[in-house]
Amino acid sequence: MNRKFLISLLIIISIATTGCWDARELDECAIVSALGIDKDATCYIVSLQVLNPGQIAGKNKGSGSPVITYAATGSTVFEAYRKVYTECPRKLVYNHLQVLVFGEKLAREGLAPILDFITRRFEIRADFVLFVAKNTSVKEVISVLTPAEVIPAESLFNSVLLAKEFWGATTVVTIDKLISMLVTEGKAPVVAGVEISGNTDSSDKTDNLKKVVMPATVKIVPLGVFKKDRLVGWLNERDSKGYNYITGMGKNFLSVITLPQGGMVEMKILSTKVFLTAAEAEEQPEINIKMEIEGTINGISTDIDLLKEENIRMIEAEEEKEIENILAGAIFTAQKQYNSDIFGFGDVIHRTNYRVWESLRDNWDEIFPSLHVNIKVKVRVTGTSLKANSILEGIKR
Amino acid sequence: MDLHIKLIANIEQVKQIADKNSDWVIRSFICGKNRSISMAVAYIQGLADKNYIQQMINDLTEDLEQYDASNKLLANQEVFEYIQNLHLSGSNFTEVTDFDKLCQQLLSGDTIIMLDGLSKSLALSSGGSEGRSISSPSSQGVLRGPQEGFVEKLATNKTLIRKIIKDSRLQIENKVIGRVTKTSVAVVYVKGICDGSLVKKVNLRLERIAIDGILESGNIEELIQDRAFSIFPTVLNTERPDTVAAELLNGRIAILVDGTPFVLIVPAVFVQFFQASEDYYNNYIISSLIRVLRYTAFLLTLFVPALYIALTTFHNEMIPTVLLINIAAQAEGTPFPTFIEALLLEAIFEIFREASIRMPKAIGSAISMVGGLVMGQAAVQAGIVSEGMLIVVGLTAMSSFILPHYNMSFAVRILRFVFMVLAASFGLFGIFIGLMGMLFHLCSLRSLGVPYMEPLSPRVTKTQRDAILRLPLNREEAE
Repeated sequence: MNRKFLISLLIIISIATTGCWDARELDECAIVSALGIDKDATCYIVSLQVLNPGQIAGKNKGSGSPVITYAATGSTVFEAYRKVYTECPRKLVYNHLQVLVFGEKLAREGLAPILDFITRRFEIRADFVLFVAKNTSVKEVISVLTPAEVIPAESLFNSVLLAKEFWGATTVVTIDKLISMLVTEGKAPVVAGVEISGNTDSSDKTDNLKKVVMPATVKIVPLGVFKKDRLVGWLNERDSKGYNYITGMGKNFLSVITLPQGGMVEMKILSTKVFLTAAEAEEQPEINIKMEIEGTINGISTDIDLLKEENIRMIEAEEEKEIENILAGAIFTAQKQYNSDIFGFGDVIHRTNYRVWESLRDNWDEIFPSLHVNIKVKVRVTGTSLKANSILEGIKR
Repeated sequence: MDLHIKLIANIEQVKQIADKNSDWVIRSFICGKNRSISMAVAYIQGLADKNYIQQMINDLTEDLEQYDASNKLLANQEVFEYIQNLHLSGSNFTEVTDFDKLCQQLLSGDTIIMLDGLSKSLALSSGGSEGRSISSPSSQGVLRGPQEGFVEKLATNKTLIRKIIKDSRLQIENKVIGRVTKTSVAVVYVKGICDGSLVKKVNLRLERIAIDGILESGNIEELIQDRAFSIFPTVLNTERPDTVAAELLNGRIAILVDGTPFVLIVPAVFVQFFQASEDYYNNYIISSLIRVLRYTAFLLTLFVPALYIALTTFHNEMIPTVLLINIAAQAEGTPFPTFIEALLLEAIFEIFREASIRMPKAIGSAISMVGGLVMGQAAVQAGIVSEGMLIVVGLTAMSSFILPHYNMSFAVRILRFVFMVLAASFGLFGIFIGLMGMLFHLCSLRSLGVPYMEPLSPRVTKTQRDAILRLPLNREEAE
């Protein structure tokens, strides 16, 4: 009796907890690799980059375009997206979405309604990267063909991962990360920017794939700054790097300084530690940024003797100055130009002392621009890579 | 019916039983110094060794003549006792007093010696019927280990086991099963190692068998199983004497059946079907890895087609993008849904497999060529099936051959289709429900009262060393 009851309970539970599913054959699916959402005066414009598997793999690959772009407009995103079926013969599936591009106009008007549309859909995986298209239409960004990666979305996806690590002026924002930045008090989001460089006349033709120098490329540009869910402007490259330093992404960055006696030193950063703390001075909140950076010398263009410790110390001091400058610059831009707390200083105060935050929360917008930030950077040069001194020394002699 | 006193009457009776059988031979002769002893021998041509009988009769008459001369024996009883105790002292015989027993002995290859004036006769084991010589087992070959396999003759098979276990505790109980075939069956176990109640249980089940014919050990397997409807085998069969010996030493019981080289071993649990005797002859690390490989292959052959169907039609978010594109590109040209495609290819494969067993050996190469061409090349080029599906079915097929006991792979063959149907209708959810059902069933199975999933569930720590892995033999215990 008891056993039968348990077994039937098990069956009922398992039937009731199936989740969402539906069978569809692969040759009835259109796999969406990139989704673009923009807005014109009244309507939403949805552009979809759909894979054309037969052209990517299989027997007659390469004879046609590897992707197809569909676009439709509607008064809501959903409506536009459903209208795509007037052109597309297959069921759109989003579970392999790699890139989501927002139009600049839409971003400036606010992303919140769109985010709901995306996150409410059950079949979307949360590992795609968000971009804002700078000075260009979303449909164009999605339609540029790329030679190195057959799928343009994958090209963009892979290159933002590499650019984040080695170039440093961009960041990888996924949908959950964006939402978490949006809902965290005292923190504003940033989103990677993307633009088209070159001649877009043939960017959506396979001709674009046949030249050594591509006529048109999709290029990642520095970060877009948001205030709440609205895009307010763009950081420059240096400020974007500063943002990444403060948020602890500085590993693998290259820091270039000019020595007082002339000549450049390039340092590759091996590890960074960032300590953000909130403090109070004269009844005013302030933020302390303490950074510990370890790096190795990656190249010098002068004959300075690196075997002498005082020279290394001097380089360390110069590096500290330079990085402090970068951080200060980024903070200045965020405070004075955009008044957007992208570093999450408010969040730091909130976490350190929520009572203080309670009193600041409502007029944080007025406080943030004049928030005092103490920056302290400690750089340690731990090596000089494969060489000691520059060969310049030998040449001069 | 008991034997008569008169030899003539007995001979008549035997002839009457023989009826129209031309291969029943009954010869009467007179011996002794005064030609005073009349005797008869009866045997069946082909079953009994003719040379042996000839030799036996020669010796007997000669001996009796000499003995008669020196001892003046007259009474038939004395002759009988002489034959029984002195002349045949080196042979295996039984005393027979009735015709039923007599016939049975005759039919199992014995030679009957009858004497005038006595209502009993001697059945001399003279089984010399033609049989296959010992060769290496065909279904369970090994690279390392004894190459001897069982043969069809029960006596030889018993010898093969005795040759390995030289201990008086090794018990071989004989039985005759089958109302018409009267097949000899031997229950073998090691007293003291094997649980006595288990032996009783086996004997009880064997005695309960009421059937006309036992043609192969498979008949017995089916009749002594705990549950007849399970597709999982609960009785192990082997052609290898070393496997039998090893299982006997583990306290199991072997059932030998005359006329087949396949020996049954009970009780059999799930993990046994993944063990080969070679595991114990090779380095334990390698053996353990190979066992893991077998379990992996078991899971592969069971689930790969089902998973392929489930992932491509229900959960394509679980497939890496690049792979999905590849699969999708292949699916572009194929006309059938994935499930039908899988079913089609699996069915073709099963047909080839079955055909290759039934086909005469000479045509085997033609079959494999046609199979390779049809399945491999033509089907893909014609766009009927996709390459991915071909890989899946190929992998499944190869994996199913890795199991050392092929009756487990029968079970898997059937279940694979069940899982495919479940996957096609409910996706991964269906597979998991099926898996749960399968596990429930496996855990509820018993082989002669022993839980089928032992030692995994219920957990028996002592025998865990040799369940999934093959850990090294215990040195201290060995000393």
